[in-house]
Amino acid sequence: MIESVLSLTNLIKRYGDKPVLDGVSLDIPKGSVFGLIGKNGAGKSTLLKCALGLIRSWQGSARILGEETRALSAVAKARIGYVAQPPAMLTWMTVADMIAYTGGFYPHWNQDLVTRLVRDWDLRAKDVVGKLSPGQAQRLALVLALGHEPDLLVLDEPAGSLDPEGRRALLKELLAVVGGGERTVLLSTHITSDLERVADRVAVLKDGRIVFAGELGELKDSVKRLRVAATAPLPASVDIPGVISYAGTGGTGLATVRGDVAAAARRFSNDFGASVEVEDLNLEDIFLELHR
Amino acid sequence: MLGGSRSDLGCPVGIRRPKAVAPNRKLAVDMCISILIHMLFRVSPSSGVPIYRQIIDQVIALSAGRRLKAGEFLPSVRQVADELQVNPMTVSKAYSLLERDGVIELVRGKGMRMGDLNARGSLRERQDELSPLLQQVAAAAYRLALTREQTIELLSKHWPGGAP
Repeated sequence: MIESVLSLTNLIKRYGDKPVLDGVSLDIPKGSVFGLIGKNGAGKSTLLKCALGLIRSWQGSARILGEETRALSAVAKARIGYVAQPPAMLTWMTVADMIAYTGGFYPHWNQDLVTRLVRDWDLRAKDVVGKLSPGQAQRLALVLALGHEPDLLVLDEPAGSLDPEGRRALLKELLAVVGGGERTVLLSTHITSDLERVADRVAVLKDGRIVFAGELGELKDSVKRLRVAATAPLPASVDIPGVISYAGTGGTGLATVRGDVAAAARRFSNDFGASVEVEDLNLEDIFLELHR
Repeated sequence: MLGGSRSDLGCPVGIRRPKAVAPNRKLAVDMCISILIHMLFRVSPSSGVPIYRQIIDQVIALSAGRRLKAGEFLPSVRQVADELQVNPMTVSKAYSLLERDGVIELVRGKGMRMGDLNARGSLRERQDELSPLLQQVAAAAYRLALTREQTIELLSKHWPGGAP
């Protein structure tokens, strides 16, 4: 059994009467790049903040790096890096001051790494933080979160304000972080294409609930589209296990299937004498299908 | 052995792990490994096919096409992940599934070596393994009114490494 870096059990959080997290359970194994995906307002930021103890009033249990989130020690906190959305920084400082100030909080600070990232990511030491572009501010926040080489790096929508080049550079850095297998990255995003390259595991958050959590490859293997073609007209709706959406007109039908794809394909083939073509779906397609 | 000379680049084969390499040759070796990995593998992250499966399919295709020969070493998980900019776990998963299926074997302290595909079970055993799949193919071809010749032609087209 692989060690869990972050473990949530039945987490419930309400804002007023409205449940934002409705019984979330999640395990994030050490060494993974874990992608949390969900639409805007699905509760991704709230989930991350609850897990980190930045929001206090919630029900359920959360453990992080082997400790209860509600009673996190300073040692454990120093092993966590977090970038909020939007990044929280002191706007009147210069880039260099902001870095020196942040570094002061940590017993371990890799200045060589920080210097390299500042250079590679086109940040200027003398610029004032409040006057940075959103993309620059995002990059600076990432540098600040990487400087103490955290064992758990939590990023809330890290790529939102980055251009494609900046996103690639970020993903490269994330892979370098997890390269040794000892450190873990948890990131939330609604840009699924960023995740496909780097994430090994994903969780899909929908209306405050996790509708899938597991390996990305497993998700792609388990959700497929079936193109059904028959000589006789197909029914307008079907009752076949695993079918999450279906539309049929005349002799052709389009079904999205989750779970035992082969069994569903056989059913279509046997029930309607149809020929069935199985189509692969990428993460974005799957994301949209899971939100129907 | 993979060295810095140009002739090594002419032939896109697996990598024989360099032993001790003088520091001034390290860069050249790294470059060669990088070029070789890109010649071996091409991944498309946003395709519906999981990346680990893409890597597995390519190792098998390269092996069937004799571009990866028995006894040759594959680049390490780390090298492939760095070069292709994908998660090392994904590469590692591909390698361990290939190892489970006997396509490659782990050589302690040296890496993953291409196994001998011909050495896996007797001809009969391997035919038995394929039979159920072919039954399905034959049934589907019949249903689609494809002739035996048309079906075999289609199968050859999908043969790893291209049609003979």
